[in-house]
Amino acid sequence: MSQSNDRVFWPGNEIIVEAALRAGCTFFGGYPITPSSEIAAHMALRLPQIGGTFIQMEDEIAAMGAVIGASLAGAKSLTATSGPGLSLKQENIGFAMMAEVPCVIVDAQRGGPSTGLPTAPAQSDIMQARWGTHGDHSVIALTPTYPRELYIETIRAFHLAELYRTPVYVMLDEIMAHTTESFRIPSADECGIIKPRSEYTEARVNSWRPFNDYFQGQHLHITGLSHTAEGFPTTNPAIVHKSILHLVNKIVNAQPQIERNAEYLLDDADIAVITFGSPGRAAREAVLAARANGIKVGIFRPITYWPFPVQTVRDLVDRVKAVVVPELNLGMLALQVEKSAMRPEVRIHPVNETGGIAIEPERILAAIEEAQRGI
Amino acid sequence: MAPQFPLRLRERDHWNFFLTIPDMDRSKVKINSVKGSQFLEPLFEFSGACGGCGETPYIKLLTQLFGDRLLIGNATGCSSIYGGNLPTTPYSSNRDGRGPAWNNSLFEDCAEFSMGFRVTLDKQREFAVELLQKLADKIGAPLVNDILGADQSTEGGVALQRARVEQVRGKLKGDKNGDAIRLLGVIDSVVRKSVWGVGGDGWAYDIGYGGLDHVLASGKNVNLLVLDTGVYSNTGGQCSKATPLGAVAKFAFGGKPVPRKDLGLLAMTYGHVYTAQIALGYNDLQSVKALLEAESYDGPSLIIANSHCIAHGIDMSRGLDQQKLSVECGAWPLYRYDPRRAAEGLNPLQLDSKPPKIKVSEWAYTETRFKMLTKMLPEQAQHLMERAQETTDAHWRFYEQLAALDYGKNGKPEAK
Repeated sequence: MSQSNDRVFWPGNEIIVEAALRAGCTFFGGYPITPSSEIAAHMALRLPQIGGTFIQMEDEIAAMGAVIGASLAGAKSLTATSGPGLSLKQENIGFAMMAEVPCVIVDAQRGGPSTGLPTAPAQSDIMQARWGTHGDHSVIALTPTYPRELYIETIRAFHLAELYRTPVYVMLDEIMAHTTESFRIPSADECGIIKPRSEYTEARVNSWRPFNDYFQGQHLHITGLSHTAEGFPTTNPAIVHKSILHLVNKIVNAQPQIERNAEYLLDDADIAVITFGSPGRAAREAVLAARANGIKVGIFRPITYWPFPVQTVRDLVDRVKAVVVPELNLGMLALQVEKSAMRPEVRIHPVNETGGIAIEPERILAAIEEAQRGI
Repeated sequence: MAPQFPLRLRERDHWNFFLTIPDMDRSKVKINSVKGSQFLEPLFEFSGACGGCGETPYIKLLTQLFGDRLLIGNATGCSSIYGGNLPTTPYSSNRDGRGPAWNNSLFEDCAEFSMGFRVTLDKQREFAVELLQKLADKIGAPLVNDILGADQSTEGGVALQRARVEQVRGKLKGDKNGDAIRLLGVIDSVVRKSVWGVGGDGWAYDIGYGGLDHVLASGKNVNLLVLDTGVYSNTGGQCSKATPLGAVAKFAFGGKPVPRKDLGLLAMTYGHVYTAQIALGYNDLQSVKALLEAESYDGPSLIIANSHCIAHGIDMSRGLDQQKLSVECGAWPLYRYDPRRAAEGLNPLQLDSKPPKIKVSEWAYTETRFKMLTKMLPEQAQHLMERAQETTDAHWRFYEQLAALDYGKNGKPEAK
């Protein structure tokens, strides 16, 4: 770590640690897995310095269990993993969804399925974040692109977790995890809301049941079984149905507040590059090169990936003539764009990479030029 | 140093000549000795492991002893990387085309994965036996009886069984009978196979421990080899439950505050698990014996192999010396626990290393993983080293007493 004034030179994994600490995270439970291990290693160093707790667990699901336990006991809690680890955590992530336990899960994505490409980037966990655990539920997943964004979104993840009492994902990839860059640490204003859990009075309103601090004032029952507003198990169909609607709608209804996108040169654009995470950076270079050749093209990046900004993307696709979708998977974002767009005549030009390498700006530029020819 | 290319052209002929040198006849080698075992052809060569890797010698030995009938389920980690660094593989085959069948499982499941091999092999053998009996008239009762009653405890016995299988193949060649066709598909299973789950301490002590325990409890003839570096080597040196007290690892920057888990002791409590702790650098004969005994035991086996690693901060050309020091200070006692001995009224546990003759610090402070703490946190280092000495001494005394227990009459008290 090197620091002069507020400029720092950190790898992505370290940015997450420092942002989490700033957000008030005092607990980390983890297990070694490339390319996220440095988050745990840095937490092991930093948390004891501030009186927090780092625990290495025996496996991934246990790490998720420790995070849930720590959160239930009052600590803002974080875990970090990568694809195979995310698969192993899913049962407990579902428990945290069902029991409405605030926590943050960082996924430094690598190639899959299975062991896949441990040291190479991918974005193919994005659907697992949405649908990885069983049962109906909503989810929040944030997909930053730049170091400052990663810092700010990590802090926001803790805020959203508390506000909506839910696990929140921060999704990056191996490139972002391991790239060391210089950036200015955001000011307090830029970081958004940072406050202790006890001050999240809104969460009581968002919840379908009173939200008191755990272990304060009343007995609580916490369960992964379908439960009543008091937390006790029930099989009453009406109550169970209501509870599932609550899990889904508490996030769906808050979409306008949770949604955050980045737009670049879209005002006069004929072509929109829709992308997320690290390919957004190559897209920027490609867009500038295309503009130099007179092509009107801009970028749209969902920073809140889940819940997906369906209406915003629909409006955008209504305005443009073609869409280019670069992503490090075989079309998970493209599928979402297709689902959101209502005009079949707008052609989607995918740029996919699953070989464990970055998408180069040239490939995106070529897709933009192809899109331009097709207009 | 010289340019590689012209040398390579010249050496190619030498290499080809080298390959023509005949290997020893396995059935004539005294394999239960260091010298004899090293006459056997290794079926693991040119791995991509770090120079001086402490794990690969055990795998090489495993393939020498059982390579032509070996099945390995390999947990993800260093051994799956250097063991399967595609498009090449260090696992090879002998002149007869026989070699280890190797497969990576996942992080945590190689014990269960290997048990899958075992269960399948057992079923195939069961099916083959049924068919042999059914087709006894066609094959000839004496040959069928020889196959069913074969003693395959020696290399010679295995070779004879293979020859019998060839006879069956000859007799049934071209036979259109359904049972004959089915038998040809499974007849190889009557030759004894050797099933091993292989992985590191991250697998065995941490993420795979539940499965390892389950497979040991199953009573099945599955052998588990733990290449124990005491650290997550592949992901960059994180602490595991095998990390020794006082060692610095990622996630344990202040030195590991508690002793390593005694995995072997946990396995021994079952009573039916062949268990050994080995270190090539201290006693290579004991390593050979342990592997042979584990393999010959018709039940689960667990072998914990001391493996030095670059993550220890040592001169990798002296790795075996580091192993030796760790045994000499008592931190890594060598033992074999053979359940078959209990049936004979003998204590199953045999200590194979001598009582500690040096201090733990005389080993530990030759490795950067311990030494660095004396620079970073000297007081903590001193405190932990004192603790390490105490726990190591106590651990050795405990083992001495375990090994001295009287198993007369198989644990039953003497009648008065």
